[in-house]
Amino acid sequence: MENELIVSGENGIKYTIKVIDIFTVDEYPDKEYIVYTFEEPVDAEQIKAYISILKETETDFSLLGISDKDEWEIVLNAFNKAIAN
Amino acid sequence: MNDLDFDSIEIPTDDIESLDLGPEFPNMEISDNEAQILNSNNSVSDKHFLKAEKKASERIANINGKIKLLAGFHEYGDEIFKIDRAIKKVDKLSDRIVRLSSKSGTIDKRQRSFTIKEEIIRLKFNRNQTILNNEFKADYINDDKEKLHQLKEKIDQGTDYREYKTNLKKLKKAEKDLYGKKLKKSDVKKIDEAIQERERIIAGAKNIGIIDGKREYRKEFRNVMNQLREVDKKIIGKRNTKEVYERLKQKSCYLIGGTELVLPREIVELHQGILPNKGESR
Repeated sequence: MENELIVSGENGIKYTIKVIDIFTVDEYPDKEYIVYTFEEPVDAEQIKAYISILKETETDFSLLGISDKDEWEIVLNAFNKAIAN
Repeated sequence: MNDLDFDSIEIPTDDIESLDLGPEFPNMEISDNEAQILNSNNSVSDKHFLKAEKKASERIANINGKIKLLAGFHEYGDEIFKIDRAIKKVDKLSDRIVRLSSKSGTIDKRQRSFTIKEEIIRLKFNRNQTILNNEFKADYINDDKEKLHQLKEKIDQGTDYREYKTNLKKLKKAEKDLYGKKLKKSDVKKIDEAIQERERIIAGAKNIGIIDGKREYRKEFRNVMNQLREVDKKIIGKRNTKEVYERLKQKSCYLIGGTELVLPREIVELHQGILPNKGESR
C-alpha cells in the first residue's frame, strides 16, 4: 500500500498507519507535523485521523501529541487550508 | 539550473585522482614489515609514526563513511558539526605525522605523511560536495518547471478541446506537486527570482573556491549554505517534507501520542499532501 508506515506503540506493539500528509506551519518553523490514520471508521463517510508532532533523532522518529491549545489550533487551521486546496 | 555541473569543478591538487569517492587506504592493517619495526628496537618516532598513521587512516575512512551517509539529506546540522570536529582532529593528527616523518627521516614516510594530507583535502572536498549536492535539491524544481512550461505550451498550441482539458488538468496537478499550493502569478515571479538568486550564490561560491577544501572552508561554506537556505525558503516556502517522509521510512518510528480529528473519507483517499501520488514518484 502507498504511504504506509509501521510504527511501534506501547509495549512494542506494531501498528500500520496510513500517512495523509506531513507539513510545517510558519508559527512553529522548527517542527514537522504528520497527519495519519488507522482507517478507523466513524461512519460511512468519515474516518478518524490523528496529527502528531514528528520528533527526529539520529536513529528514530517519535510521534508526539500536541498538548498546547494554541499550537493545535494553528496546526489544524493549516491542515484544513491545505486540504481545501 | 542545468549549469550546476560538479564534474567541471577543478581541484587544485594535481595528485588527487578521483573526486567522487573517499580515500582508499591500503594501510588499514599494519603489514608484517611495519609490525617488525614496531616490535624491533627502532626509534620511538618510527613506532609513533606507524601508530599515528594507522589512526589517521581509520579516522579518515570513518569520516568519509559518515559523509557518504549524509548524501541525500537536507537536515543534518548536528552531523556536519560532528564531521567538522572529526576533520579538525584528524588534521591535527596529520600535522603530528608530518613532524614524526621528519624525525624518522625516510623518504617513504615523508611521502606517506603527504598522502595523508592530500586525503584530508579530499575529505574536505567530499564533505563540501556532498552538502552542496544535498542543497541543490532546487534542481528538481527546475526540471519540474520545464515540465510545466511544456504543458503550458501544449495548452497554448492545442486545438483539440479534450486534449486541452486533459493538459489543463495535468498542469494544475503539476503545479500543485511543484509548489504544494495554488499559485498566483506574483508567486511564480518570486520563485523565478529566487531560483536566479540561488544560481548567483552558487556561481559565486564556485568562483572563489569555497568548495575546493583548501580555503578556510567552514566559515565561508556555512555562510553560503545560510544564504541558500534563505533562498530555498522563498522557492519552496517550507521545508522539504518529502525528505522527512523518506527518512520516516528508513528509521524506527515510535507512536507516543496524537491528537484526534475526524476527516471525510474522501479527503483521506484524495488528499496526497506532499507525498507522492499513487503510482508515481518524484
